[in-house]
Amino acid sequence: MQNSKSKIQSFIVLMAVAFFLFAQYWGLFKSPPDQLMGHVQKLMYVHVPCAWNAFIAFFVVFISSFIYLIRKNPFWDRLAASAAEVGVVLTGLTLILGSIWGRPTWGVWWTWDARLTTTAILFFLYVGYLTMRSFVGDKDRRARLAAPLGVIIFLNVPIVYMSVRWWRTLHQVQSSPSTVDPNMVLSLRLNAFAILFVLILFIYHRYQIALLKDKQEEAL
Amino acid sequence: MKSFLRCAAAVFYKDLLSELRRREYVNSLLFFSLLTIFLFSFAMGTEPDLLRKLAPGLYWMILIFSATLALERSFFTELDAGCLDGLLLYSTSLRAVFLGKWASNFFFIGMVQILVALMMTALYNLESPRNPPLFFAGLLLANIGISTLGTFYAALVTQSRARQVLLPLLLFPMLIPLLLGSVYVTEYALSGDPFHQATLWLKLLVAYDSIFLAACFAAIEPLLEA
Repeated sequence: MQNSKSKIQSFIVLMAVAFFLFAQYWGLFKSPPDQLMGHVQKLMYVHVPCAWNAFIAFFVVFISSFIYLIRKNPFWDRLAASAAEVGVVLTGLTLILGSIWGRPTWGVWWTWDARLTTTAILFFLYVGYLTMRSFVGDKDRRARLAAPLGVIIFLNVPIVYMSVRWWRTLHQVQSSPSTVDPNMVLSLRLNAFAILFVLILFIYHRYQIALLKDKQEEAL
Repeated sequence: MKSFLRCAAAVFYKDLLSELRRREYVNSLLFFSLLTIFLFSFAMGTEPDLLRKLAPGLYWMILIFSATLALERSFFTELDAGCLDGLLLYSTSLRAVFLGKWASNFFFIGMVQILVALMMTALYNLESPRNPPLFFAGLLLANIGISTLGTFYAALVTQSRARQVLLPLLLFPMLIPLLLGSVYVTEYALSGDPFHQATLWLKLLVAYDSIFLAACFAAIEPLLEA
């Protein structure tokens, strides 16, 4: 049991690190610099994958919170908590990397554009979720309180996006894969998968920690 | 169904009655909102044009802050001597308790809305809204949204430590679409809306309210059972 667990773990670590290094190498050296933005554009290979994977993480929070409401199995609660933590980290990274990219290309660190604002609000929502979890001592109660919250928060995401979009918009729309250099598309996709593996690795680790903490709580 | 509504009405009546007898929260709530109106004009200056321009935004900021005070009240008062457990045990359904609490929050927030609107009109020298039906539709829809999510979150944070901090921390980001919608509706209602630009925001508010009413109603039972 212990042996197979550590095998899975080392497999995920290996995949995540190797894939990430490879994808970063590809992005930095193999794909061409942007015609207008030059090498700054390469931030895209971390910024965009972080954003995508943060959404995946939040979707995992939503699904596992929902299943927890039906099944009441602590597995789903721990998964939701782990995914929320990793999602918050990735969202934070998305915001910071976006700022670093925005300064040389748009001339500002921050702008009240729809997607930026939505991402920031998403960050606040899930930080709230984690704060709430940390303020409830008993783990069963924490799980039962956090699950409805995980569902409700996620429902707000499309509404926030729509409302902020009507409010204002500047962020460049997604480029269609057919209009950019195929190497760039490949680079982006490689990096997206690399960060997906990192996401899985982090969630896996956070899950193990949550499991141990629960065991420790039971033992006390 | 009948007992459900009666239970909700009883919870609502109980809240009103206890408030009527003590008058603690209502008084402090009204003074708090009045005070914030003054504070904003100290912070922004007293130039009538500026205040008129900022009025819709300030109005909703004051309202959300005061509403948080009203919402904190709704479940915290039940914590003394295990009132909440009793309330949940005696009631026909947990949803009925939620509905009753929702109604009392709706009532108190509505009261604050009207009072703040009147006081702001007087103190900031505003004209009466050019489009009163739109203005009141905005108030109503925003109130439904605030009291729905507010009641839900009040029930949620009651069972945790550090409630006072947690309620605004969780509630404010959730209310951002509602804040945007109601600020714009109020702005168009005050200045007139010849191009029906407010319709979009009204739709947003209606969608927001219906989604969260349904979701909170569905999710309240496991939450109160916890």
